[in-house]
This record gives sequence, structure tokens and C-alpha cells, in this order.
Amino acid sequence: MNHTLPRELGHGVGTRAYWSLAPSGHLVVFVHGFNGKAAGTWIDFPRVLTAERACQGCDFVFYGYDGLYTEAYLSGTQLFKFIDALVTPPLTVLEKSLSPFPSRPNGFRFKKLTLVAHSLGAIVSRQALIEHYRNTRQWAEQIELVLFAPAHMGASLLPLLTEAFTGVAAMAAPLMSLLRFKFQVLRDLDPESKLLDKLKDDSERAILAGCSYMKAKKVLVTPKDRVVQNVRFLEDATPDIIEGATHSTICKPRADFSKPASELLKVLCPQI
Amino acid sequence: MPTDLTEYNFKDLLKRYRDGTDAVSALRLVNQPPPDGLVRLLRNHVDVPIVDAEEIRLRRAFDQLLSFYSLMEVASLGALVPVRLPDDFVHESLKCLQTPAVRYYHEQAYPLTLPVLFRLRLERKWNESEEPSAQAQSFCYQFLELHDMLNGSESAQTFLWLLEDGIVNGQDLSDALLVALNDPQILFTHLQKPPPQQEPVDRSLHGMGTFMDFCVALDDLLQQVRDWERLQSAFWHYYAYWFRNLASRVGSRFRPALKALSRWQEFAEAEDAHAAHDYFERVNAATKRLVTGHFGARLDNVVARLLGETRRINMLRRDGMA
Repeated sequence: MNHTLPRELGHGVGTRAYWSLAPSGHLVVFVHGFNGKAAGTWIDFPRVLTAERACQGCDFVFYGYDGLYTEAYLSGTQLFKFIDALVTPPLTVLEKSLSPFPSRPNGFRFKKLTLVAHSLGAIVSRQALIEHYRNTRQWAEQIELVLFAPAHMGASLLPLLTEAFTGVAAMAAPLMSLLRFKFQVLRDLDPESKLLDKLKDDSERAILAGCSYMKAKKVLVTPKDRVVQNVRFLEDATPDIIEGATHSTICKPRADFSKPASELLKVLCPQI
Repeated sequence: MPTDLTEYNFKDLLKRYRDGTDAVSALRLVNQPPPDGLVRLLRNHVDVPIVDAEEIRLRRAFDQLLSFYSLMEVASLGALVPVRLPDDFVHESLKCLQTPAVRYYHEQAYPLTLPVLFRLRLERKWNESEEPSAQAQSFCYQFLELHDMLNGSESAQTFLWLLEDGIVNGQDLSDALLVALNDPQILFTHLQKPPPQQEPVDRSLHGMGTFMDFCVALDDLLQQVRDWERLQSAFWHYYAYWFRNLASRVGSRFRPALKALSRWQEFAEAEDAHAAHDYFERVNAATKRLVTGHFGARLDNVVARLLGETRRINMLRRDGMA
């Protein structure tokens, strides 16, 4: 093993990190979706990734935020600020969290950043990248975006609520639609929302300005998705299909369902 | 400065799960027992009920300390921590785990297997662990993810507390939970409240969802780790208290709640109903496997062998667990 046990970072909501002992400068940040959790949404990924030899140099951060009551735009700006604080020298967030492990070598910089997002997390991540562009930051030489069932074209609210509240409210369908007025973020996920229009415009502008990282490198979708529309966003990669998954389970590898992990590994470690 | 990853892991576990919790209060009490003594504090609640708020707090501190020792046994079995632990830690831990009142609390009043094994490990009467491997250790990482998913969720903790005795802040909430689960209007009222306005019953409704997700994920982990039997057994034992209770008195609250939830399928559209049916099937199958005690047998047998007694096995048989 080459990673620390999970460390709480004190940023966002329950954000946790697995730091590499032999860092390669590749930072992977996971961003959950509606009603997701830093520990929970990506439950199997720490096991799969820390055991993978080719990922031994990667640092893994599972970012948490309020995916129910806070507007997606604000969540995106908070994610921007978090990553900015994490990767910008003097790397105080990283060093504080690493202790008592040895500090990173002098001059250590992150060379590559991969943002991995699920559902609403795609909107939050894109928003963070737009802020990165607007604030002319240089987080890493290479930034890439991997999306699981992205909701950047909006979401069908009823199925989303049904899946997000798996147990408790799963069947409260007739009334759950009313929850949209209580959960701020649901208004952002309406396909007609102003936020989504602006997100698209801003992304387009950033791409035209040469920010190729705004084009998702990998998009994973499932034909069984009743929550999001599988429509391409600007110049994103052609989607790969994960059969046998739902909107929620598409980012949850299991013993008999390794595709979510193997597809991500293709991006993180193209050499394997 | 430690040079080995296992030494870092030990420091991490200590900092986060002992020193970062109220477990330190329990350690202090072992060194400086209260005027009434630890025997009274750590009694079986069946003999003399626990109603005093300070007593409840201190008993929870001991629960957290015992959870930490349980976690240390899991980490030792998974070769996550050094075989030889620092002398001062060993001395301090043994002092606690050998204290008669503490032993009574976790060996007789509320039997737990992992703290017993950890004491035996510190006494050098038990030293087994899995062969160090990236796979076995990565399963431990996943176990910690699950641990933090359940223990880090205030709503899940409220739900578990409610399951145990139904009383939260002096209010019996088990009826309120069932009423909410049986009525869409009431459920809706509870679910729409943002966290600052949530009452215990609102939190417990959210927590029930987390607990069901947790059961499914733990069951999945136990299936995956089947080739590492000791580790599998230890993972289960860490939550044995809850699953034993689910099989008995707590189940009388959980089962009706689950049944009430599954009835909601009738109101849903066909696709939603199908997805919900699959989900409840998974929850049901997982909880059925988890409450059988099958996963725990491996380490129960180890303890029985090491202690040279059949009392523990008999106790488990009595509870329908062995």
C-alpha cells in the first residue's frame, strides 16, 4: 500500500483525502451529486484505486458539499476555492493534512488534475473550472474532466428524487415533486434553468479561449438513466455506455460490476 | 518520525478514533475512577436503569473507547498497523482492558468479541493477522469508508439511537417514525426541513436511508472479502452489536419501518416501483445475511478456544447467533 488512511481536510462537507507516499503530482478530485456524500457516493473507489499499482503516485480527494440546499453555482465557486487553496503554493492545506507524514519535496507541484464528477457534480465541477479560467489560474499543466451520468443538461426531478433518497422517500413520488421548492439545487437542475444556460455559454467561451479542459475527456452514461438526458454537452468526448447501471449505481463499482472503476482507470492510468 | 506506513497508520487511527473522540474521557476515568467507582457506572442497565445524563455520556465515552480498540483489532488483523505497538500504548490499553469493571461491561453485560481479542493480542496470547497484501489492506480502507459513512452521519446515529430504545431527548420516537413512514403527507413534512430546522424524527428518517445503504454496502464488502476469513469476521463483529439487536428487540422497530416503506411502491409509477422493489430486495437480503451471525463465527470460535470456555458460545447460541 502506498496511501495514507483517509484524512479529513476540514474543507467543504466531510472532504477526505488519501495521500500518496510517493507522489507523482497527479491529483484526482471526486465530486459527488445531488444528496451525495464525500464518503458514500464513491464507496468502492478508495479500495480499488489504492490497490492499483499504476495509481500508487496519485493523491485522491473525495470532496463533499451540501448537494441539497445550496445553489449549484455557489457549490461550484466553493469547489474552485478549495482546489485553489489545495494546489497553490505554499500548499498549506496539503501540508497540514499530511502531518505526521513527511512533507512533499521542495518545489513540489501538481502536474495533473483530474476532476471526476457524478450527476450534479458535473455542473459543480464545470462551474469551478469556469472560475479557474475567469481568475486566470494555473492549477496544473494538465486538467481533465471525467463525468459519470452528468446532469449538465438538466435532470428529471422526480426520478432524481426517487434515486437520491433511495430508502426513505423513494416512493413518495406524488409529493416529492413539491420538494423542488425546498431544495434550492433542484431549480438549478431544471433543463430550463438560467444556471444551465449560463454554464453552457461560459463553457463555450472558455473553450474558444483555448481551455480544452472544459471538454470532458470521458463521459460515462447508462441507457437506463431516467434522471438525466444523454445529450452531448458542447465538445465533450463521445460517451461510453455502462450497461446494467442506473443513474445512482453508475459510479458504484461492486464485486460483480467493475466497469465504473475500469473505465476510470483507463483515464487515470492509460498505461495499464 | 515513523518510517513505516504501518506506523503512520497507527498514529492516524490513534489521533482520529481515540484522541479525536470522547474516548479520552473514558481513559481518564480508568486512571481516576469516579467516586462511585467504575463498577456502578459500567453496570448492566437491566440491573439498574441508566437515566442520569452524565452517566449516559460517560458510558458512551467507554463505548467509543471500546470501538477504538475494536478498530485496532481490525487494523491488526488487516496488517495495517505494526505487529509490535509502542510500549506506552500497550501498557495504557492493557490497564484499561484488564480493569474488572471494563471487562464486565464488554465481556458479560454487552459481549463484544473484538476488544477481547485485542486484549489477548496485547497480552501476546493471540497474534494472527492476514498476510500483508495490497488487496487485504484496501479492504480495510473500504471498511473505514463505511465506518465514516455511518459514524460520521448525525442522522444515521439518531436513527440507530432511536432503534435501540426509541427515546431521543426524552421523547419516544419509534411511533412517530412509523406514522411518518405510513403517511406521505407527514413524511413530506419531515423530509423538507433543512438541517438547522430538523428535529430528531426528521433526522432519523434521513438516517434510516443511510443505514439501509450502509447495510447493503457492508454486505457487499463481506462478500468480497470472503477469502480473508478473519478479516471478514472482524468487519462483521465491529457492528455485531447492531446486527444482534436487529435480530432481536431492535428488529421489532426496524422491520415494521422497512415494511411501511416497501408499501410505498404501490403509489409509484411502474419504473419507480421496479427500482424500489429491487432496492428493498437488496436491503432485505443484506440485513437477513447480516443478522444471522454467520460472518462472526470464525472469530467467536477463536475467542472460545483462547479463553478455554464455552460460556461465550453458549451466550451467542442463546441469542440465536451461533
